[in-house]
Parts: sequence; C-alpha cells; structure tokens
Amino acid sequence: MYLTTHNLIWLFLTGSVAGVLGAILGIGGGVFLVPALTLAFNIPAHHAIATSIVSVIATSNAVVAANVKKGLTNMRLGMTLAISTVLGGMLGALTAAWLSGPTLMRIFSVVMLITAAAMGWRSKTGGTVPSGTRNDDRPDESQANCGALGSSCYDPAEGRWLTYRVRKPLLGFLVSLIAGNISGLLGVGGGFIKVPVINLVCGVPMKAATATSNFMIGMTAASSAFIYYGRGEVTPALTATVVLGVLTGSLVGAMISRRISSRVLQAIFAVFLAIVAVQMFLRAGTMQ
Amino acid sequence: MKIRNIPGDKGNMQREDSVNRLIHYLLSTSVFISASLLVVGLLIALIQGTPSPNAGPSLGEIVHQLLQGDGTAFLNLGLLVLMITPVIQVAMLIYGYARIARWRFVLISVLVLALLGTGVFLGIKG
Repeated sequence: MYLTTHNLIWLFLTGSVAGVLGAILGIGGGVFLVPALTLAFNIPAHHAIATSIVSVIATSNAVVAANVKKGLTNMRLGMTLAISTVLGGMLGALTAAWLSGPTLMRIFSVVMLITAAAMGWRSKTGGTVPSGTRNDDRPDESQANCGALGSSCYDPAEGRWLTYRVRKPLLGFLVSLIAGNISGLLGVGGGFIKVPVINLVCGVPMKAATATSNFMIGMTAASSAFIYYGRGEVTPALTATVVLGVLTGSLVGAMISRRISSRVLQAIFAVFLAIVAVQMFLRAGTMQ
Repeated sequence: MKIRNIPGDKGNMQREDSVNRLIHYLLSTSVFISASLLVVGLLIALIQGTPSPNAGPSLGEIVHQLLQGDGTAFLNLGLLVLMITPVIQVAMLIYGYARIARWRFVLISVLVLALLGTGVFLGIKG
C-alpha cells in the first residue's frame, strides 16, 4: 500500500477505533485490527499481523503501567506463565513465515469465530466466578496461605481485599503456551484464551486475571515482534500511525468504558466479529 | 543494601510493592518516549515527503539515518523502544526479586529473559 497523508489519517482512525473497542470490550485490539488492515486497506497478512503485534505491546505497556500501580497484577504468576507464553509466541512467529497470507487469514477467521463465541457467552453470563477470600484490611500474604504464586488485590467494586491461592498452575502453563502461539502466529494478544482459564480454572479473581494476562501479553508480543521486525514486516510509517491510534483509542476507551454497559456491546460485537470472520475466510479463498 | 526475606514479614509485601513501582515508572517512561519519537518521526516524514518504506534496519543504520535527520529513522527507533521495553522490564524484575531475595522468581525471570533474548537474536539475525 502506498502511504500518503490521506491513508495515514485513515490508519490512525482505524487504530483508534480498535483501541476504543479493545478497552471497552476487555480484549486486545488485534482481533479488530488485522481484519481491518487486510480487508479495508489490502495490506498483506504478514505486515498486518506485524503491525498488530507491535500495537499489542504498546497497549500492554500502557495498561500494565496503570495496573501495577494499583497492585492488580500478579507478577509472580505472570512471570511463571510467561515461560510458556513467550516460548509459544516465538514459535508462532517462526511458523507464520512458513504459511501463506491466505492460510493465515483462514486461521485468523477461525480464531475470530472462537472469540465471537466467547464474547457472546460473556455477554450472557458475565463469564466470571467469584474467587478469593474477602478481607477488610490488606492481609499479610505470607500468613494468608496463598502459596508461592497466590496474592491479594483490592477490589474497588466490593471495597475489600481479595486473597487467593492459584489452583492448577500446570494447566495454566499449557494454556499459556497455546495462547502465546496464537499471539505470535496471528498478532493478537491471546487474552481471550488466558483470562477465562486464569479466572475459572486457576481461581484468580477476574480483575487480577485480566491484569496478569495483560502483563504477560507484552512479553509474549515482544518475543515475536523482533522476529517480524527482522523479516522486514514491521513497516515503520504504517505501524507507527496505527500504534499512535491504538494508544489514543485505548485512553478514550478507558474513559468511556466506565459509563456504558460492556455486556450489550459484547453481544453486538460478537455478531459483528462472526460476520467479519466469514468475510475474511471467503476473501482468503479468492486470493489463491 | 541486601534485604532479608523473613517469612510472615509484612515489610516483604511493601518491598514487593517497590518492585511494582519500579515497573510502573519504566513502562510509563517507555510509552512517553516511544510515542514522542513516533509523533516526531511522522511529522518529519510527512514534511520530507512520503515516508520511506525502510523496514527492519539494524540499530547502526538507524543511528546513521538519525544523524541525517531522516523521519523514518525516528519511527524505527520509537518502535524499537516500544518493543524492547518488555525485555528491560524482565531485567528489572530480576534485580527487584534479587533485592527481596525471592530466588525462585529470580530464576524464572532469568529463564524468561533468555527466551526473550533468543527472540531478539533471531530478529537481528533475520
């Protein structure tokens, strides 16, 4: 694609919309960004994925900076799971080099359908389980039987501290490997796989699960971003414009998200994602 | 100064909070620096004409182009700052966990850093 000022403005707006949606719906913007870049701007799949993966790092850096200050991120759990997710991310990026653009688009459309289904389920059920022991004051973690990986976090909604122990860390480890692989292969964060597992299976409260997943996403994306960069697939002006758009959109989205019901939006965008996934699958067929 | 890890010591949690603050400052600074470089780079590139599609240059090439005032070099540097931040974050965690003597997590962080280093090496090698 020839990058004119006009195109850069549209790319900035696309990144902003992806950032807003990502912040409101609680998922990374990559799942919107890659289809938009390939379908609307005709950018080759590998370049769109590379652009998306750098945007994922930008969002993760900004979100984690805020979350660690609030004490929501469980960095000990995040680092432990990062071993598998970073490995998966690297393998994904290396695998992407062997796959054609249309094949990547087909795989992406299947992942989009899964995301749409997960989003639809969350809009209906809320998709979380209450986890952790409630305390009025900040508990002493070393005496609260949280184990080496457990922690405590403050839930402003309840106005209390939640102390939790991490269950089934091995399962979390395996799921992180798959999520990392999908992230490196398709340029998405992979939080839609990790967050439900960390919350539902490992028993980490939802806010801490989301914050910990975001913490891991930055490292995972970095492991694959350098591989895309080395292959010359990170186009500077395109990626820079989209990154700035996503960062701006994330800030706006974070402000809007407090005022609107994300469950209604999740239901609407679940249908929207499913339609775009089918469209992407069909477009991949015409590219052969 | 070495800080001892005493079981049941509430001060240990406060020291872990200091690791959180360290990461917060690193990430906030990185986002600010990279966003500034990207904005400056885009403005220069647009003033100079259509941005050049110079993708994946080495650090040496970027420095050389920066000295010539090339806008695309600012863009590439901004993107590299963004991409390297998670790697620096892990290095800082190794330091942070070593300070509070949480050796298991020092080891885990070293392993993650080695994996990330492999990714960077594969990227540089092309």
